[in-house]
Amino acid sequence: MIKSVTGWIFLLSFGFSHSAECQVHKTTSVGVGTNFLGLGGHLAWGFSNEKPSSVIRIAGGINTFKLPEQSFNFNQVPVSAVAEIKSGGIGLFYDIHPFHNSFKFVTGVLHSMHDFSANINLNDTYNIGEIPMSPEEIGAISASIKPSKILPYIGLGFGSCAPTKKRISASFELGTFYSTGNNVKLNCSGLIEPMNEQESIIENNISSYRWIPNLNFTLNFRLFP
Amino acid sequence: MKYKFLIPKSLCISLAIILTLFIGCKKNPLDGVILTLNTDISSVVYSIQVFDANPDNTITESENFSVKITGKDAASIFTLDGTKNFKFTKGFLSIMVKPGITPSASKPLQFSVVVRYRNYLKTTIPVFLTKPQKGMVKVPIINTVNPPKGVTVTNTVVSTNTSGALDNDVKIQTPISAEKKETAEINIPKNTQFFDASGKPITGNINVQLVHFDNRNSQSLASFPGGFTANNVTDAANSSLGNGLFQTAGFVALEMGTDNQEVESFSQPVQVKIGVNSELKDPSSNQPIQAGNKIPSWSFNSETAEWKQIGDASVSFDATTNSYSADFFTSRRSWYNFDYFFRSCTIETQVQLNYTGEENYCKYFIEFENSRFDYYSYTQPTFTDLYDGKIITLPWGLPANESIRIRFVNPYTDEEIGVTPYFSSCYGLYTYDVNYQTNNTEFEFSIYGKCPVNDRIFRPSGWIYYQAQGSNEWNILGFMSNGRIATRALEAGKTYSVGTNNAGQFYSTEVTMEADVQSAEVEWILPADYSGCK
Repeated sequence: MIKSVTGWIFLLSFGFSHSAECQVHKTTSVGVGTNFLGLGGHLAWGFSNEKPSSVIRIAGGINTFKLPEQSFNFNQVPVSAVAEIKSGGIGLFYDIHPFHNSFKFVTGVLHSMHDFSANINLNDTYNIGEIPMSPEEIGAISASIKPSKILPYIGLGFGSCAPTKKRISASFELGTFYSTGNNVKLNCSGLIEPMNEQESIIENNISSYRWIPNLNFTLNFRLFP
Repeated sequence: MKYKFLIPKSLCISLAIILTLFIGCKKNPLDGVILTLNTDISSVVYSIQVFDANPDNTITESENFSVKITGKDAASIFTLDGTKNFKFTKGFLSIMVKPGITPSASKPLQFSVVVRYRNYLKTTIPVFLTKPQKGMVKVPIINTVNPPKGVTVTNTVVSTNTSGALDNDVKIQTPISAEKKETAEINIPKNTQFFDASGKPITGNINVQLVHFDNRNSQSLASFPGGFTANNVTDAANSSLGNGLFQTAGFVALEMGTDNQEVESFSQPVQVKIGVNSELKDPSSNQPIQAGNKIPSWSFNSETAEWKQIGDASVSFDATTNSYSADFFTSRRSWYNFDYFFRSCTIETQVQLNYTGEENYCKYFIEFENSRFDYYSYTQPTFTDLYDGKIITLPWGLPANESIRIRFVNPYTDEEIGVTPYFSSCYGLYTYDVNYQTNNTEFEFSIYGKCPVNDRIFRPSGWIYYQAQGSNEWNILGFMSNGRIATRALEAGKTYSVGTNNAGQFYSTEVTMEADVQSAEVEWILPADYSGCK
């Protein structure tokens, strides 16, 4: 259970709300959008007199939410985990419409504020011989996983981020960020404090979690002309 | 039309990329992460090492010793794995106070460890704790077949009639030898009956063991049951005398009983007579003992480590043997002692070290300026850590306003580290400047116990011992906290065994010290039934 949940949480945690898409005509637009996790916005400048047409966007977003409590056995000890996901960042993106139509390739870079954290506590007392130790006395595992601060991005999508003919447009985008590494911080308390030495094991386990998917939908509003 | 074509095609491409990137990447982040517990859960971890008081003997069967914890706080004492399965291994027993309990001067903890084994005199180890500590005590035990110098043993059997009474007077006496100038005797009059703890008469053959300790011999003095400081002392009127120190004139341990019952009392008083060293000085006059002098006599409850005054013994002189003795009458079987009792300081005396040198360990002895207390130097030294600012609290029970000094030695080589000037035993906080360097480099052990089934890891906290290759003796290396210990005791190029006892088992590993290696990781596989593995 923890395997699948953790994996998806990790992937989802890197979701980021920024807009995409656009067909271009020297316009300036703003956009609001949503992806798996929350809301974001962008400011976009379209250049439609070029072939292929392109859009430069500054996009940002942030979101926080908690996942439902999960119970599982850890080394045969019943525990419960509560996870919190903070996603977000601010980035610079470049959309290129190679066929001068709705289809686009997207590249960019994000200054990440992603942070997946989890707290794991014992469900019951843990007996050391005849001495019951409360979950508080045993302590808790507090873990934080952060990808690298700078995340390059590539994607594909449809729709204009900087609408020209109409005031409003919609865009859709599917892509992925790339993290050069993940920083794991364990802050175990109480009697399980020695577990802090196992950060490198988790880092190694998630070393393959480099590609961070992104799927979003945005509405774009042309400001001027 | 163009869009209709492009949308599904691009979506497929995008999804294919995403799936390619993520399928096969889902490894559980917690794979290989092990539940690891620091077992430093108690304010008091106390290790007791027993050794044969006769240096010619070696204890080889401590695993079979019977161990019982008695006293008012016995319920709060556990083994390091949280059980009550007290067991010596390699002569060591480690115990702890229940987590959450912290002893203090206002709420001291008091208990005794009672050790029994065939061919050894029952030994009671009183423990009195007034503060959190990682304590260690070495306790000599008396082999009754081959006792140490200054200690003699007589074993005999007395028979009672069908009503449980003696048909004749019985005299039981310990022998005299060239090295043992005094004797002790018990005179039990005819018609005496013997009762167990419930007051029921004991009939048939009764085994009697009489052990006498003189006050001349260092081995005898070092074996003095319970030590010379006492914290559970009452006078004849049953009033507490608080903490204090004994100066002994002689001691006898009387054990009587059948295989199933212990004699606790007699139907009529029996005479206890102990030879007195003619060199003994009456502390009130500082003059050699004389006929007619009184020596306080005490009984020692070997279950509770309580000393109780039972009266005064009268000193007499026997011209035929040219020797002194003192006697008294009692109706209770006990361990009997002729002792002068000195009240102790009412405050704790501490020594603060202004230390320059590497962090290390030392052991220290308390020495008295007054030769009256010379015997105290035979008590076992205390092992402690050595660092700048270290505050050593001297044991409760030191006699008030005596001049004492502290001698520090290297615990591994016995090389002298320093000796303080004399200061008052009730000084309070005494500061001492000391410097010490060793040639050995620091070596760090990282030690853990692993459960065989679920891989849980326990980082032990307790005393670590070492044994040089070729030696049979285990010595203290130091205290390991959270599975870590740094030491300068071990020399490069030599091979040692390091070990600890935990939950009735002794774990050890052989380590060869190499000059260019400063650390080692040690894994000990725990038994499957180890309490924390379940």
